[in-house]
Amino acid sequence: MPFMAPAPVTERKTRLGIPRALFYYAYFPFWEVFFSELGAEVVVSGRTNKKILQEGLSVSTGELCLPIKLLNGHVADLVGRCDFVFLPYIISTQKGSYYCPKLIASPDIAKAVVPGLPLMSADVDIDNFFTSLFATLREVASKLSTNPVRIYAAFRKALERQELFECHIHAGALFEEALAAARQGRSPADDARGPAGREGEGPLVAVVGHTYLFNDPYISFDLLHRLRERGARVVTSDSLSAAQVGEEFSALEKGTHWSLGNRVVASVIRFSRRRDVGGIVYVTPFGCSSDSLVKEYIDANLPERKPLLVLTVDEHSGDAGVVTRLEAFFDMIARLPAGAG
Amino acid sequence: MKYHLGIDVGSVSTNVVVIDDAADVVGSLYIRAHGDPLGSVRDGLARIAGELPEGETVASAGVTGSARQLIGAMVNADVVKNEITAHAVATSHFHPEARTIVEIGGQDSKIIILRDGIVTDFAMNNVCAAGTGSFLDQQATRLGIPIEEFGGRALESRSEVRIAGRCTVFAESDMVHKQQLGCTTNDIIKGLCDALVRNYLSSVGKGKEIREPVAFQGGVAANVGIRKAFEEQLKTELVVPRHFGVMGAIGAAILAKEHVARTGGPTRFKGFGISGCDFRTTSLECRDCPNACEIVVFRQDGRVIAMFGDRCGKHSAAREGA
Repeated sequence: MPFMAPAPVTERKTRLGIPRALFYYAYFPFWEVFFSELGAEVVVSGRTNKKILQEGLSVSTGELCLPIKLLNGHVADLVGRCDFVFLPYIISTQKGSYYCPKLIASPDIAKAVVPGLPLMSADVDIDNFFTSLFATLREVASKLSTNPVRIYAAFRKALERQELFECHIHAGALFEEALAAARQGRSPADDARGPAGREGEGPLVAVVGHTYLFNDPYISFDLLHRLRERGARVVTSDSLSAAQVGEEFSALEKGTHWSLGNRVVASVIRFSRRRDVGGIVYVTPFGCSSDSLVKEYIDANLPERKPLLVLTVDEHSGDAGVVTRLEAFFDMIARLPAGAG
Repeated sequence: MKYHLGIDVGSVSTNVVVIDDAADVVGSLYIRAHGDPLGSVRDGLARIAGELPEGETVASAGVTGSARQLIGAMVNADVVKNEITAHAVATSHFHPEARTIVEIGGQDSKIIILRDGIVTDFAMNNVCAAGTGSFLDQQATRLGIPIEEFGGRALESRSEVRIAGRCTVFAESDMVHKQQLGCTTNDIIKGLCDALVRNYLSSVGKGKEIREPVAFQGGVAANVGIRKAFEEQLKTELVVPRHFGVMGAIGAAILAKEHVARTGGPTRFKGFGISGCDFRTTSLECRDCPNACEIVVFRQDGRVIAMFGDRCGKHSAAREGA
């Protein structure tokens, strides 16, 4: 086995690997603090690059979707660099809506394709997210500490960091900006002008979709950066709070059943209402079964939406298709009169 | 009178046009590229130069199409634009009343929604080529009918034959089956045209508000069978622009014309003389980081004029500065 056996007697810290994929983009701030406070050394897999993607593609079966293949690549990247890989089973974070079966089963899928993977896991299937998270994580933390006081203190600190991170996200910061700000303990009020790049004269472009797609520059062909390079200001579907997602849905007959799908639909509704938004880019992975329903849902239920560009990302390495569509989209919204669409 | 050059380098054909200040087409070429964009552009430039009045050259040059980056560097274009914008610009010039553009080329197809001459929505086909010109090309070859006569045969169809158009492979097996049942070739061709249009409307055109007048352009607009199928399914008469096959190139020329009018500056175009130059591309794998990008190195007469393909941009930026 390429893994080093955990060595409880030595003074070396337990190294805990976190793949830079899927829920990393939602909950890493919490995990980072929680595990560090319990004495672990948190090791994050590298930024997605060709090698990681290729590794993920080669170990995965063909039927899996790109985000899961990519997760497997990131897990493989951690092999030999840590004692455990942390992968939670996240089933539901809100009553009545669920994550896709492939996401829920992602720890098992990773175990199947990376034999002998020493996993540290947790179940998240709750109405009251953080209370239950504490209960499930206590089991995980038993690998690191048995001191309940220490665990509770770590939990409080982690929660604080996560909340600060989410404050920045809901104020419109992108993932990396929010993570950096939360680590420095800055509150959004300290950044009166907002993080660099959010100011500007260009059109406001809303990027919606699964957070782990558009926040990964490699797999999204550097979408967020490309938009800003063209002078656009960017706002994403991450910026909606759970309450705002629920608000938008209260007006509709029913949701889409999927947590990530509901967020996309709610974002399209909300951003379409905003006069300052020029257009919406919807990033979706090729062959995503839940998104195939979400797209139909948007077409059928939201006729009054802003111009919407659907960008399908796949394992193709050529970026010509994405560039053409983005350019045309940009030309279009730049010429549209403000508030149209 | 000033002249403006437009080049559209697509997957199947290379189109070269020269327009004058009034955007009237002075000369146009539709060249089958056979997978050689550089050679076809060189050939096109040499031929289009002969269509200009004695001693005249062009005041601007614009490039569009999927190989626009490469060809833009080759000719030093004033404007390098995507196909959607180029097509929309050309159509709203000749047919300002158009509210929908259906464009079907060799390997891609698009729909552009215009309102008051402004693009308000668009879509392109994703990964499948079943609704495009190459699909028709293949099926025509299978039936042994020249593609030029293909559409005409559909009009002679007497009874309806339904062919599955969702996928080239299914269409082919369906066609064989219908032939074996004894259906006539004309009916089968009509069935294929209907299938392509159905596929287009349900994939590219899905969820789009298709309003008349609808302009139909791209190489496939030459096919009267497809035209008829569209008119039947959309229940409206199509507007086929006079230069339907080269609208992208015309759009690029118009954009170039507008660009130099705005900047006032002279064109960056290298001149028609470059058709005598030697253009070559080589590729190399960058080893500076794990992305291992494939870098394309583009040379004119042995001198590097451009590099692309790097995600970080350091190679392409270095060339721009040089």
